[in-house]
Amino acid sequence: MGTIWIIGGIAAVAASFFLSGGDDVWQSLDAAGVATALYLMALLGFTTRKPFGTRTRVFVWCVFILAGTGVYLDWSGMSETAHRQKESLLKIRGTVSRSIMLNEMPAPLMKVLRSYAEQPPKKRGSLGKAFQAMYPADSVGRNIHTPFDQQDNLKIVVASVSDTEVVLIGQEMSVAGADRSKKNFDGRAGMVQARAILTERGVRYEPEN
Amino acid sequence: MNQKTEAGKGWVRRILFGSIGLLCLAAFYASWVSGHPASFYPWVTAARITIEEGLKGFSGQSSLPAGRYDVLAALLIGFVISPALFLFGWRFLRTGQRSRMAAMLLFVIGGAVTISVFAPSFPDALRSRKRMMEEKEHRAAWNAKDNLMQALNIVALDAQSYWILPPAKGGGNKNFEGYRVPAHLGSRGAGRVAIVKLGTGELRLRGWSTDYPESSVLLELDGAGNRYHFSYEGAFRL
Repeated sequence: MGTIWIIGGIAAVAASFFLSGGDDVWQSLDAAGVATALYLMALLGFTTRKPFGTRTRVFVWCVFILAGTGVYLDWSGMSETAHRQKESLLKIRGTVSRSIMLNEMPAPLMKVLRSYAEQPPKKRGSLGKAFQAMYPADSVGRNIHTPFDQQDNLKIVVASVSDTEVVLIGQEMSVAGADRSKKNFDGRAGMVQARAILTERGVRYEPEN
Repeated sequence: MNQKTEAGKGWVRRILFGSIGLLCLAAFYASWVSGHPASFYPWVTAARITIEEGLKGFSGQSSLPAGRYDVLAALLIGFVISPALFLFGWRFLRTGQRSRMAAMLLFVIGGAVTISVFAPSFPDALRSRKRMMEEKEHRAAWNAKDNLMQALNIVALDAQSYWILPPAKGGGNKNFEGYRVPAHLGSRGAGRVAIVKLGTGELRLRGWSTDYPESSVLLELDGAGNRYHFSYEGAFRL
């Protein structure tokens, strides 16, 4: 009889674990947890039947409820902590990306603005020409960011160059931003993105996701 | 005939129990070899997988769903097999259905694993709740600080542009004198940015959050229009 209970329990718990499988391991574990709780209740009811006395049964059920509550609290607490830590790690990565963008993107535009402002008003050409004179290789659509290492997936693209405006768009290729549905510059969705704009009024920086 | 059937059943039972035991041992050995020793707590193993996914995301890798057999193995050993061995061992001891030796063995082995899984869960749960509350507070302060630093950096860019531009273009001509924080940059969510010191040679910007009125972040820009120093007060000194 014990063998049947063990095999039946394994089959029921394993089936609920695999049938509820999603991307998150907790989805499977929670479903299997419910099946396990039902199994344990049935097992407890079966094994503590007569000749066990009522007092013993009440005691065993009290211990089971108490221990079950402890397991539930520990289980749910760990799930929340693990998810928060995962979210935290991804958030830190997003913060690092945003800081790098804020450091890298305005720098070339500021350099152009300085050189543009230092020219005598009569000799000042357009902002676009000043940018092209300083960065002749950086045409529209080109990624101007040199990766720091293999894990650096940031791209800083020259989005537009005109007489009055130069726009750079920075986009992470694998780091999610706050809005997971927001469309990115390259057609992806939900990645960290920001825009730096050089105009005659200065350099503006706009975080977009 | 009956004796033969009973003997046959005994062999089937031994083979089944032996197979389950070998499978459990194999799962534990595989988890040990893979560098992630299995635990009897499936939620601890699941938490490890979740955090590993976070670490992969942190290093810019895509997080593929990880293998989860060790989670299931821990759940089956700790919550299905061991309690069944323990309870049936106890029952056999009471009813005398099996040999006392075998019943005692089931009772002791099953009981040891079952108690080791259930007993520490209460204190562990209390400890993890306390830790979670502390982390929540820490993270909220960290988020507020991060938002303020970004807001300060954006205002600093605006101030640097002002420093560079000539007066005809609305600038200060290599001077911060006359600079004002634009209204749309001075307030962002719960964060506020204001000038605390303005001189020909330097500009000091202070950012604070309405959620942390006693704490602030200070950003100083030097006379050449460069950002050069961040300093933190109160809860932002993390």
